[in-house]
Amino acid sequence: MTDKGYKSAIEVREVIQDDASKATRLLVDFAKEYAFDNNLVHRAIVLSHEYATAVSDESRLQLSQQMSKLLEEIIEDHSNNSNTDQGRKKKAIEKAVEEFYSKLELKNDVVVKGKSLTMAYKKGNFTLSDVDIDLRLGEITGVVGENANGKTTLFEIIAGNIDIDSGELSYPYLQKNGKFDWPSIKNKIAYVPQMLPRWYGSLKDNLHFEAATHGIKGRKNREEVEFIFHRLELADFLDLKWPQLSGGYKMRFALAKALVWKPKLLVLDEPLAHLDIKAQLTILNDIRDLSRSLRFPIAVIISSQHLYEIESISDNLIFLQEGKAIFNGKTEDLGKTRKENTFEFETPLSLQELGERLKDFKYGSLVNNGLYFVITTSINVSQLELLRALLSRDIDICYFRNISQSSKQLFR
Amino acid sequence: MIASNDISRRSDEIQILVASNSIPTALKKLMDFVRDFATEFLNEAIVISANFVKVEGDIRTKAIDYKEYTKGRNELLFQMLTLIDEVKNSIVVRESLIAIEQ
Repeated sequence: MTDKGYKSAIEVREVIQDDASKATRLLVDFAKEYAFDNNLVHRAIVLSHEYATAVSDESRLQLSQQMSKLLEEIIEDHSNNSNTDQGRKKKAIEKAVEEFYSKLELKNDVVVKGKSLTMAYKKGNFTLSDVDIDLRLGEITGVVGENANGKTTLFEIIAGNIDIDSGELSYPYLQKNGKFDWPSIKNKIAYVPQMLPRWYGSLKDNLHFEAATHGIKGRKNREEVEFIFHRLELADFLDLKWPQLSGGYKMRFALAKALVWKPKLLVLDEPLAHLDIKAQLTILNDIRDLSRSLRFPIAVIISSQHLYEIESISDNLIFLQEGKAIFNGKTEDLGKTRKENTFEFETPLSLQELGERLKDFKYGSLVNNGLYFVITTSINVSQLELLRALLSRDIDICYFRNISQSSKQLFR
Repeated sequence: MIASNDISRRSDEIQILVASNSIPTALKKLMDFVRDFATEFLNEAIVISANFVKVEGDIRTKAIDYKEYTKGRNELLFQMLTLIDEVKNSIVVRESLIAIEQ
Protein backbone atom coordinates (compact mmCIF):
# COMPACT_ATOMS: atom_id res chain seq x y z
CA MET A 1 0.00 0.00 0.00
CA THR A 2 1.24 3.49 -0.79
CA ASP A 3 1.93 6.13 1.84
CA LYS A 4 -1.31 7.81 0.84
CA GLY A 5 -3.15 4.51 1.37
CA TYR A 6 -1.61 4.00 4.82
CA LYS A 7 -2.49 7.56 5.83
CA SER A 8 -6.08 7.01 4.68
CA ALA A 9 -6.27 3.73 6.62
CA ILE A 10 -5.00 5.42 9.79
CA GLU A 11 -7.54 8.23 9.35
CA VAL A 12 -10.44 5.78 8.87
CA ARG A 13 -9.30 3.73 11.88
CA GLU A 14 -9.19 6.84 14.10
CA VAL A 15 -12.58 8.13 12.93
CA ILE A 16 -14.20 4.71 13.56
CA GLN A 17 -12.92 4.87 17.15
CA ASP A 18 -13.90 8.54 17.68
CA ASP A 19 -17.27 8.71 15.93
CA ALA A 20 -18.33 5.75 13.80
CA SER A 21 -21.25 7.69 12.30
CA LYS A 22 -18.71 9.88 10.48
CA ALA A 23 -16.61 6.87 9.46
CA THR A 24 -19.23 5.05 7.40
CA ARG A 25 -18.71 7.14 4.27
CA LEU A 26 -14.93 7.15 4.74
CA LEU A 27 -14.89 3.37 4.99
CA VAL A 28 -16.97 3.02 1.81
CA ASP A 29 -14.63 5.40 -0.05
CA PHE A 30 -11.58 3.56 1.29
CA ALA A 31 -13.00 0.19 0.21
CA LYS A 32 -13.77 1.49 -3.28
CA GLU A 33 -10.28 2.90 -3.63
CA TYR A 34 -8.25 0.00 -2.23
CA ALA A 35 -10.28 -3.25 -2.18
CA PHE A 36 -9.81 -5.67 -5.06
CA ASP A 37 -12.52 -8.00 -3.81
CA ASN A 38 -15.85 -6.31 -4.59
CA ASN A 39 -17.52 -8.20 -1.76
CA LEU A 40 -15.51 -6.07 0.68
CA VAL A 41 -16.92 -2.92 -0.96
CA HIS A 42 -20.43 -4.37 -0.70
CA ARG A 43 -19.91 -5.16 2.98
CA ALA A 44 -18.73 -1.58 3.63
CA ILE A 45 -21.85 -0.19 1.94
CA VAL A 46 -24.24 -2.52 3.78
CA LEU A 47 -22.50 -1.79 7.11
CA SER A 48 -22.96 1.90 6.41
CA HIS A 49 -26.64 1.26 5.70
CA GLU A 50 -27.00 -0.78 8.89
CA TYR A 51 -25.37 1.99 10.91
CA ALA A 52 -27.77 4.55 9.42
CA THR A 53 -30.75 2.41 10.45
CA ALA A 54 -29.44 1.11 13.80
CA VAL A 55 -31.90 1.64 16.63
CA SER A 56 -29.74 1.17 19.75
CA ASP A 57 -26.32 2.18 21.08
CA GLU A 58 -25.50 -1.49 21.56
CA SER A 59 -26.05 -2.32 17.89
CA ARG A 60 -24.10 0.80 16.84
CA LEU A 61 -21.17 -0.37 19.01
CA GLN A 62 -21.28 -3.81 17.40
CA LEU A 63 -21.35 -2.24 13.95
CA SER A 64 -18.35 0.00 14.69
CA GLN A 65 -16.43 -3.13 15.73
CA GLN A 66 -17.40 -4.79 12.45
CA MET A 67 -16.22 -1.67 10.62
CA SER A 68 -12.78 -1.89 12.28
CA LYS A 69 -12.53 -5.58 11.33
CA LEU A 70 -13.56 -4.86 7.75
CA LEU A 71 -10.96 -2.09 7.46
CA GLU A 72 -8.20 -4.58 8.35
CA GLU A 73 -9.57 -7.06 5.78
CA ILE A 74 -9.48 -4.38 3.07
CA ILE A 75 -5.86 -3.51 3.92
CA GLU A 76 -4.94 -7.20 3.76
CA ASP A 77 -6.80 -7.70 0.46
CA HIS A 78 -4.99 -4.73 -1.05
CA SER A 79 -1.58 -5.95 0.11
CA ASN A 80 -2.26 -9.42 -1.33
CA ASN A 81 -3.51 -8.25 -4.73
CA SER A 82 -2.00 -4.89 -5.63
CA ASN A 83 0.99 -6.44 -7.35
CA THR A 84 -0.75 -9.39 -8.98
CA ASP A 85 -1.81 -9.65 -12.62
CA GLN A 86 -5.41 -10.26 -11.56
CA GLY A 87 -5.49 -7.08 -9.52
CA ARG A 88 -4.03 -4.98 -12.30
CA LYS A 89 -6.40 -6.56 -14.86
CA LYS A 90 -9.44 -5.77 -12.73
CA LYS A 91 -8.52 -2.11 -12.45
CA ALA A 92 -7.72 -1.94 -16.19
CA ILE A 93 -11.13 -3.39 -17.11
CA GLU A 94 -12.94 -0.92 -14.87
CA LYS A 95 -11.07 1.96 -16.50
CA ALA A 96 -11.76 0.65 -20.02
CA VAL A 97 -15.50 0.31 -19.32
CA GLU A 98 -15.66 3.90 -18.06
CA GLU A 99 -13.75 5.18 -21.08
CA PHE A 100 -15.94 3.23 -23.50
CA TYR A 101 -19.17 4.71 -22.17
CA SER A 102 -17.77 8.22 -21.75
CA LYS A 103 -17.10 8.23 -25.49
CA LEU A 104 -20.69 7.24 -26.31
CA GLU A 105 -22.53 10.22 -27.73
CA LEU A 106 -25.82 11.00 -26.04
CA LYS A 107 -28.84 11.11 -28.35
CA ASN A 108 -29.88 14.72 -28.74
CA ASP A 109 -31.97 14.64 -31.95
CA VAL A 110 -34.61 17.29 -32.55
CA VAL A 111 -38.01 15.69 -31.99
CA VAL A 112 -40.17 18.78 -32.57
CA LYS A 113 -39.26 21.96 -34.37
CA GLY A 114 -41.69 24.85 -34.47
CA LYS A 115 -41.14 28.25 -36.04
CA SER A 116 -43.45 31.24 -35.53
CA LEU A 117 -46.32 29.03 -34.41
CA THR A 118 -49.49 31.10 -34.53
CA MET A 119 -53.06 30.11 -33.81
CA ALA A 120 -56.13 32.25 -33.12
CA TYR A 121 -59.36 30.92 -31.63
CA LYS A 122 -62.41 31.79 -33.68
CA LYS A 123 -64.47 32.31 -30.54
CA GLY A 124 -62.89 34.76 -28.10
CA ASN A 125 -59.92 36.93 -28.86
CA PHE A 126 -56.97 34.82 -27.71
CA THR A 127 -54.08 34.31 -30.13
CA LEU A 128 -50.90 32.31 -29.68
CA SER A 129 -48.35 34.31 -31.67
CA ASP A 130 -44.95 33.59 -33.15
CA VAL A 131 -43.79 30.92 -30.71
CA ASP A 132 -40.63 28.99 -31.61
CA ILE A 133 -39.92 25.58 -30.10
CA ASP A 134 -37.05 23.14 -30.34
CA LEU A 135 -37.62 19.94 -28.35
CA ARG A 136 -34.77 17.46 -28.23
CA LEU A 137 -34.33 13.92 -26.95
CA GLY A 138 -33.08 13.86 -23.37
CA GLU A 139 -34.06 17.48 -22.72
CA ILE A 140 -36.88 18.95 -20.65
CA THR A 141 -38.56 22.18 -21.70
CA GLY A 142 -40.62 23.94 -19.05
CA VAL A 143 -43.48 26.22 -20.05
CA VAL A 144 -44.59 28.78 -17.49
CA GLY A 145 -46.90 31.76 -17.43
CA GLU A 146 -50.16 32.90 -15.89
CA ASN A 147 -53.37 31.00 -16.55
CA ALA A 148 -55.01 31.49 -19.96
CA ASN A 149 -51.80 32.69 -21.62
CA GLY A 150 -51.43 29.90 -24.17
CA LYS A 151 -49.71 26.98 -22.45
CA THR A 152 -52.43 24.41 -23.11
CA THR A 153 -52.95 25.77 -26.64
CA LEU A 154 -49.25 25.27 -27.37
CA PHE A 155 -49.40 21.73 -25.97
CA GLU A 156 -52.49 20.86 -28.00
CA ILE A 157 -50.67 22.07 -31.13
CA ILE A 158 -47.56 20.01 -30.37
CA ALA A 159 -49.67 16.93 -29.61
CA GLY A 160 -51.45 17.37 -32.93
CA ASN A 161 -54.88 18.03 -31.45
CA ILE A 162 -55.32 21.50 -32.97
CA ASP A 163 -53.91 23.01 -36.13
CA ILE A 164 -51.84 26.17 -36.52
CA ASP A 165 -52.95 29.12 -38.62
CA SER A 166 -49.43 29.98 -39.67
CA GLY A 167 -45.82 29.04 -38.96
CA GLU A 168 -43.92 25.82 -39.49
CA LEU A 169 -44.19 22.67 -37.41
CA SER A 170 -42.19 19.52 -38.02
CA TYR A 171 -41.16 16.39 -36.13
CA PRO A 172 -37.71 15.59 -37.59
CA TYR A 173 -36.96 12.57 -35.38
CA LEU A 174 -40.44 11.10 -35.76
CA GLN A 175 -40.84 11.52 -39.53
CA LYS A 176 -39.69 8.40 -41.35
CA ASN A 177 -37.70 9.41 -44.46
CA GLY A 178 -38.81 13.00 -43.87
CA LYS A 179 -42.47 12.16 -44.65
CA PHE A 180 -45.11 13.89 -42.53
CA ASP A 181 -47.39 11.02 -41.56
CA TRP A 182 -49.64 12.12 -38.68
CA PRO A 183 -50.82 8.67 -37.47
CA SER A 184 -47.22 7.44 -37.29
CA ILE A 185 -45.99 10.63 -35.56
CA LYS A 186 -48.86 10.71 -33.06
CA ASN A 187 -48.16 7.11 -32.18
CA LYS A 188 -44.86 8.27 -30.65
CA ILE A 189 -46.29 11.20 -28.69
CA ALA A 190 -47.64 10.73 -25.18
CA TYR A 191 -49.94 13.54 -24.01
CA VAL A 192 -51.00 13.77 -20.38
CA PRO A 193 -53.66 16.50 -20.14
CA GLN A 194 -54.35 18.60 -17.07
CA MET A 195 -57.75 17.00 -16.53
CA LEU A 196 -57.10 13.27 -16.47
CA PRO A 197 -59.79 11.22 -18.15
CA ARG A 198 -61.35 8.58 -15.92
CA TRP A 199 -60.46 4.98 -16.66
CA TYR A 200 -62.26 1.75 -15.90
CA GLY A 201 -60.86 -1.54 -14.64
CA SER A 202 -57.66 -2.12 -12.64
CA LEU A 203 -54.43 -0.19 -13.11
CA LYS A 204 -52.64 -3.32 -14.23
CA ASP A 205 -55.16 -4.15 -16.96
CA ASN A 206 -55.02 -0.58 -18.20
CA LEU A 207 -51.23 -0.67 -18.45
CA HIS A 208 -51.28 -3.96 -20.39
CA PHE A 209 -53.92 -2.53 -22.69
CA GLU A 210 -52.01 0.72 -23.27
CA ALA A 211 -48.83 -1.16 -24.16
CA ALA A 212 -50.76 -3.51 -26.47
CA THR A 213 -52.35 -0.61 -28.35
CA HIS A 214 -48.81 0.54 -29.17
CA GLY A 215 -47.84 -2.84 -30.57
CA ILE A 216 -46.15 -4.26 -27.45
CA LYS A 217 -47.48 -7.77 -27.06
CA GLY A 218 -46.84 -11.11 -25.33
CA ARG A 219 -43.84 -11.45 -23.05
CA LYS A 220 -42.54 -7.98 -23.92
CA ASN A 221 -45.86 -6.51 -22.83
CA ARG A 222 -45.57 -8.19 -19.42
CA GLU A 223 -41.96 -7.04 -19.02
CA GLU A 224 -42.66 -3.41 -19.90
CA VAL A 225 -45.66 -3.26 -17.56
CA GLU A 226 -43.66 -4.86 -14.73
CA PHE A 227 -40.84 -2.39 -15.27
CA ILE A 228 -42.99 0.72 -15.28
CA PHE A 229 -45.11 -0.11 -12.25
CA HIS A 230 -42.06 -0.96 -10.18
CA ARG A 231 -40.16 2.05 -11.52
CA LEU A 232 -42.99 4.42 -10.56
CA GLU A 233 -43.68 2.65 -7.23
CA LEU A 234 -47.17 1.54 -8.20
CA ALA A 235 -46.79 -2.10 -7.17
CA ASP A 236 -49.10 -1.78 -4.18
CA PHE A 237 -51.86 -0.18 -6.25
CA LEU A 238 -52.19 -2.45 -9.24
CA ASP A 239 -55.55 -3.91 -8.40
CA LEU A 240 -57.08 -0.57 -7.44
CA LYS A 241 -59.59 1.31 -9.53
CA TRP A 242 -60.03 5.02 -10.31
CA PRO A 243 -62.16 6.08 -7.28
CA GLN A 244 -59.75 4.36 -4.88
CA LEU A 245 -56.71 6.47 -5.87
CA SER A 246 -55.52 9.85 -4.54
CA GLY A 247 -54.72 12.70 -6.96
CA GLY A 248 -51.00 11.98 -6.70
CA TYR A 249 -51.38 8.32 -7.61
CA LYS A 250 -53.78 9.12 -10.44
CA MET A 251 -51.07 11.33 -11.94
CA ARG A 252 -48.39 8.68 -11.38
CA PHE A 253 -50.60 6.15 -13.04
CA ALA A 254 -51.24 8.53 -15.98
CA LEU A 255 -47.47 8.86 -16.28
CA ALA A 256 -47.08 5.08 -16.22
CA LYS A 257 -49.67 4.76 -18.99
CA ALA A 258 -47.78 7.35 -21.01
CA LEU A 259 -44.34 5.81 -20.45
CA VAL A 260 -45.10 2.10 -20.71
CA TRP A 261 -44.79 2.14 -24.51
CA LYS A 262 -41.60 4.26 -24.55
CA PRO A 263 -42.76 7.43 -26.33
CA LYS A 264 -40.23 9.76 -27.94
CA LEU A 265 -42.12 12.89 -26.92
CA LEU A 266 -43.89 13.41 -23.59
CA VAL A 267 -46.28 16.37 -23.26
CA LEU A 268 -47.30 17.05 -19.66
CA ASP A 269 -49.85 19.78 -18.99
CA GLU A 270 -49.77 20.91 -15.34
CA PRO A 271 -48.90 17.51 -13.83
CA LEU A 272 -48.13 19.06 -10.43
CA ALA A 273 -51.52 20.65 -9.87
CA HIS A 274 -53.23 19.25 -6.76
CA LEU A 275 -50.15 17.26 -5.68
CA ASP A 276 -48.51 17.56 -2.27
CA ILE A 277 -44.83 18.52 -2.09
CA LYS A 278 -43.59 14.93 -1.73
CA ALA A 279 -45.62 13.74 -4.71
CA GLN A 280 -44.40 16.71 -6.77
CA LEU A 281 -40.75 15.89 -6.06
CA THR A 282 -41.28 12.21 -6.81
CA ILE A 283 -42.91 12.93 -10.16
CA LEU A 284 -40.35 15.55 -11.18
CA ASN A 285 -37.40 13.32 -10.28
CA ASP A 286 -38.94 10.42 -12.21
CA ILE A 287 -39.56 12.58 -15.27
CA ARG A 288 -36.02 13.96 -15.15
CA ASP A 289 -34.34 10.57 -14.75
CA LEU A 290 -36.47 8.73 -17.32
CA SER A 291 -36.16 11.47 -19.94
CA ARG A 292 -32.36 11.35 -19.71
CA SER A 293 -32.12 7.63 -20.25
CA LEU A 294 -29.08 6.60 -22.28
CA ARG A 295 -31.00 3.97 -24.21
CA PHE A 296 -34.53 5.39 -24.33
CA PRO A 297 -34.27 9.18 -24.07
CA ILE A 298 -37.45 11.24 -24.29
CA ALA A 299 -38.10 14.87 -25.24
CA VAL A 300 -40.31 16.34 -22.53
CA ILE A 301 -42.38 19.52 -22.51
CA ILE A 302 -44.03 20.32 -19.20
CA SER A 303 -46.09 23.22 -17.89
CA SER A 304 -46.64 24.22 -14.30
CA GLN A 305 -47.28 27.10 -11.93
CA HIS A 306 -44.58 25.69 -9.62
CA LEU A 307 -41.82 27.84 -11.04
CA TYR A 308 -38.83 26.86 -8.91
CA GLU A 309 -39.57 23.17 -9.22
CA ILE A 310 -39.96 23.38 -12.99
CA GLU A 311 -36.85 25.53 -13.36
CA SER A 312 -34.85 23.01 -11.34
CA ILE A 313 -35.46 20.19 -13.83
CA SER A 314 -35.79 22.11 -17.12
CA ASP A 315 -32.98 22.53 -19.62
CA ASN A 316 -35.01 25.13 -21.51
CA LEU A 317 -37.75 27.48 -20.47
CA ILE A 318 -40.56 29.26 -22.31
CA PHE A 319 -42.44 32.05 -20.54
CA LEU A 320 -45.76 32.81 -22.19
CA GLN A 321 -47.59 36.08 -21.71
CA GLU A 322 -50.75 36.87 -23.64
CA GLY A 323 -49.85 34.22 -26.19
CA LYS A 324 -46.31 35.48 -26.82
CA ALA A 325 -43.01 33.98 -25.65
CA ILE A 326 -41.47 36.66 -23.43
CA PHE A 327 -38.54 34.36 -22.69
CA ASN A 328 -37.53 31.35 -24.76
CA GLY A 329 -34.11 29.84 -24.18
CA LYS A 330 -31.80 27.92 -21.87
CA THR A 331 -32.95 28.02 -18.24
CA GLU A 332 -29.42 28.99 -17.18
CA ASP A 333 -29.67 32.09 -19.41
CA LEU A 334 -32.64 33.51 -17.50
CA GLY A 335 -31.77 36.93 -16.16
CA LYS A 336 -28.31 36.90 -17.73
CA THR A 337 -28.79 40.35 -19.22
CA ARG A 338 -30.52 41.81 -16.15
CA LYS A 339 -29.62 45.26 -14.95
CA GLU A 340 -30.49 44.69 -11.29
CA ASN A 341 -30.78 41.89 -8.76
CA THR A 342 -34.14 40.92 -7.30
CA PHE A 343 -34.79 39.13 -4.03
CA GLU A 344 -37.94 38.13 -2.22
CA PHE A 345 -38.16 37.64 1.51
CA GLU A 346 -40.61 37.38 4.35
CA THR A 347 -40.50 39.19 7.68
CA PRO A 348 -43.09 40.03 10.33
CA LEU A 349 -42.29 43.76 9.89
CA SER A 350 -44.55 46.14 7.97
CA LEU A 351 -43.43 47.83 4.77
CA GLN A 352 -43.04 51.12 6.63
CA GLU A 353 -40.94 49.58 9.43
CA LEU A 354 -38.82 47.80 6.87
CA GLY A 355 -38.29 51.01 4.90
CA GLU A 356 -37.13 52.81 8.05
CA ARG A 357 -34.63 50.12 8.97
CA LEU A 358 -33.24 50.07 5.46
CA LYS A 359 -33.02 53.86 5.03
CA ASP A 360 -29.20 53.80 5.02
CA PHE A 361 -29.07 50.82 2.62
CA LYS A 362 -29.05 51.57 -1.09
CA TYR A 363 -31.70 49.66 -3.01
CA GLY A 364 -33.85 50.21 -6.10
CA SER A 365 -37.39 49.36 -5.02
CA LEU A 366 -39.12 47.66 -2.14
CA VAL A 367 -42.68 46.38 -2.49
CA ASN A 368 -44.98 43.96 -0.73
CA ASN A 369 -46.70 41.66 -3.20
CA GLY A 370 -49.15 40.38 -0.61
CA LEU A 371 -47.11 37.32 0.35
CA TYR A 372 -43.50 38.52 0.32
CA PHE A 373 -41.41 41.64 0.15
CA VAL A 374 -39.61 42.07 -3.16
CA ILE A 375 -36.48 44.20 -3.18
CA THR A 376 -34.31 45.20 -6.12
CA THR A 377 -30.67 46.16 -5.76
CA SER A 378 -27.69 47.00 -7.91
CA ILE A 379 -26.32 43.97 -9.75
CA ASN A 380 -23.20 44.23 -7.58
CA VAL A 381 -25.12 43.38 -4.40
CA SER A 382 -24.89 39.64 -3.73
CA GLN A 383 -27.47 37.67 -1.76
CA LEU A 384 -24.96 37.31 1.06
CA GLU A 385 -24.50 41.07 1.28
CA LEU A 386 -28.23 41.69 1.27
CA LEU A 387 -28.83 39.02 3.93
CA ARG A 388 -26.11 40.55 6.08
CA ALA A 389 -27.63 44.01 5.60
CA LEU A 390 -31.09 42.73 6.64
CA LEU A 391 -29.88 40.75 9.65
CA SER A 392 -27.55 43.50 10.90
CA ARG A 393 -30.59 45.81 11.03
CA ASP A 394 -32.52 43.39 13.28
CA ILE A 395 -34.85 42.33 10.50
CA ASP A 396 -36.12 38.81 11.22
CA ILE A 397 -36.10 36.75 8.04
CA CYS A 398 -38.51 33.80 7.79
CA TYR A 399 -37.90 33.22 4.09
CA PHE A 400 -35.37 34.50 1.57
CA ARG A 401 -34.76 33.73 -2.12
CA ASN A 402 -32.69 35.24 -4.88
CA ILE A 403 -35.05 35.43 -7.88
CA SER A 404 -32.69 37.41 -10.13
CA GLN A 405 -32.38 34.40 -12.43
CA SER A 406 -35.86 32.97 -12.03
CA SER A 407 -38.84 33.30 -14.34
CA LYS A 408 -40.75 34.54 -11.30
CA GLN A 409 -39.38 37.99 -12.10
CA LEU A 410 -41.22 37.95 -15.39
CA PHE A 411 -44.57 37.75 -13.59
CA ARG A 412 -44.20 41.27 -12.22
CA MET B 1 -26.19 16.36 -12.91
CA ILE B 2 -24.56 13.02 -13.76
CA ALA B 3 -24.31 12.37 -17.51
CA SER B 4 -26.32 9.31 -18.52
CA ASN B 5 -23.27 7.69 -20.17
CA ASP B 6 -21.14 8.02 -17.01
CA ILE B 7 -21.40 4.40 -15.85
CA SER B 8 -18.95 4.90 -13.02
CA ARG B 9 -20.65 7.88 -11.38
CA ARG B 10 -24.08 6.36 -11.89
CA SER B 11 -23.07 3.17 -10.10
CA ASP B 12 -21.39 5.23 -7.34
CA GLU B 13 -24.60 7.21 -6.92
CA ILE B 14 -26.63 4.02 -6.34
CA GLN B 15 -24.07 2.71 -3.85
CA ILE B 16 -24.18 5.99 -1.91
CA LEU B 17 -27.98 5.88 -1.86
CA VAL B 18 -27.85 2.34 -0.46
CA ALA B 19 -25.27 3.32 2.15
CA SER B 20 -27.35 6.30 3.27
CA ASN B 21 -30.59 4.31 3.54
CA SER B 22 -32.36 5.87 0.54
CA ILE B 23 -33.55 2.54 -0.78
CA PRO B 24 -36.61 3.56 -2.85
CA THR B 25 -34.50 6.07 -4.83
CA ALA B 26 -31.63 3.58 -5.08
CA LEU B 27 -34.00 0.98 -6.54
CA LYS B 28 -35.29 3.41 -9.15
CA LYS B 29 -31.78 4.43 -10.14
CA LEU B 30 -30.77 0.75 -10.26
CA MET B 31 -33.62 -0.04 -12.67
CA ASP B 32 -32.65 2.90 -14.88
CA PHE B 33 -28.99 1.86 -14.73
CA VAL B 34 -29.74 -1.73 -15.74
CA ARG B 35 -32.13 -0.62 -18.49
CA ASP B 36 -29.45 1.63 -19.95
CA PHE B 37 -26.40 -0.61 -19.72
CA ALA B 38 -27.55 -4.25 -19.71
CA THR B 39 -31.28 -4.77 -20.32
CA GLU B 40 -30.87 -8.52 -20.00
CA PHE B 41 -30.64 -8.03 -16.22
CA LEU B 42 -33.79 -5.89 -15.98
CA ASN B 43 -35.93 -8.73 -14.64
CA GLU B 44 -33.42 -9.24 -11.82
CA ALA B 45 -33.71 -5.58 -10.87
CA ILE B 46 -37.50 -5.83 -10.94
CA VAL B 47 -37.47 -8.96 -8.75
CA ILE B 48 -35.24 -7.21 -6.20
CA SER B 49 -37.61 -4.23 -6.21
CA ALA B 50 -40.63 -6.54 -5.76
CA ASN B 51 -38.93 -8.35 -2.88
CA PHE B 52 -38.17 -5.04 -1.16
CA VAL B 53 -41.86 -4.10 -1.41
CA LYS B 54 -42.70 -7.49 0.13
CA VAL B 55 -40.18 -7.23 3.00
CA GLU B 56 -41.32 -3.69 3.82
CA GLY B 57 -44.95 -4.86 3.73
CA ASP B 58 -44.15 -7.84 5.97
CA ILE B 59 -42.54 -5.71 8.67
CA ARG B 60 -45.39 -3.18 8.49
CA THR B 61 -47.98 -5.90 9.02
CA LYS B 62 -45.73 -7.61 11.61
CA ALA B 63 -45.68 -10.81 9.55
CA ILE B 64 -41.93 -10.92 10.31
CA ASP B 65 -39.91 -9.64 13.28
CA TYR B 66 -37.16 -7.01 13.08
CA LYS B 67 -34.37 -9.61 13.00
CA GLU B 68 -35.92 -11.39 10.02
CA TYR B 69 -36.55 -8.05 8.36
CA THR B 70 -32.92 -6.96 8.76
CA LYS B 71 -31.69 -10.27 7.40
CA GLY B 72 -34.02 -10.13 4.40
CA ARG B 73 -33.25 -6.48 3.71
CA ASN B 74 -29.48 -7.00 3.87
CA GLU B 75 -29.71 -9.94 1.47
CA LEU B 76 -31.52 -7.67 -0.98
CA LEU B 77 -28.94 -4.92 -0.51
CA PHE B 78 -26.15 -7.38 -1.39
CA GLN B 79 -28.17 -8.47 -4.44
CA MET B 80 -28.47 -4.85 -5.58
CA LEU B 81 -24.72 -4.27 -5.23
CA THR B 82 -23.86 -7.54 -6.96
CA LEU B 83 -26.21 -6.66 -9.82
CA ILE B 84 -24.38 -3.36 -10.36
CA ASP B 85 -21.11 -5.32 -10.70
CA GLU B 86 -22.75 -7.82 -13.04
CA VAL B 87 -23.99 -5.01 -15.28
CA LYS B 88 -20.53 -3.48 -15.40
CA ASN B 89 -19.06 -6.85 -16.28
CA SER B 90 -21.86 -7.92 -18.59
CA ILE B 91 -21.39 -9.54 -21.95
CA VAL B 92 -22.43 -6.32 -23.68
CA VAL B 93 -19.70 -4.41 -21.91
CA ARG B 94 -17.13 -7.13 -22.57
CA GLU B 95 -18.08 -7.18 -26.25
CA SER B 96 -17.62 -3.45 -26.32
CA LEU B 97 -14.18 -3.91 -24.83
CA ILE B 98 -13.28 -6.49 -27.45
CA ALA B 99 -14.42 -4.02 -30.09
CA ILE B 100 -12.15 -1.38 -28.60
CA GLU B 101 -9.18 -3.75 -28.56
CA GLN B 102 -9.76 -4.61 -32.22
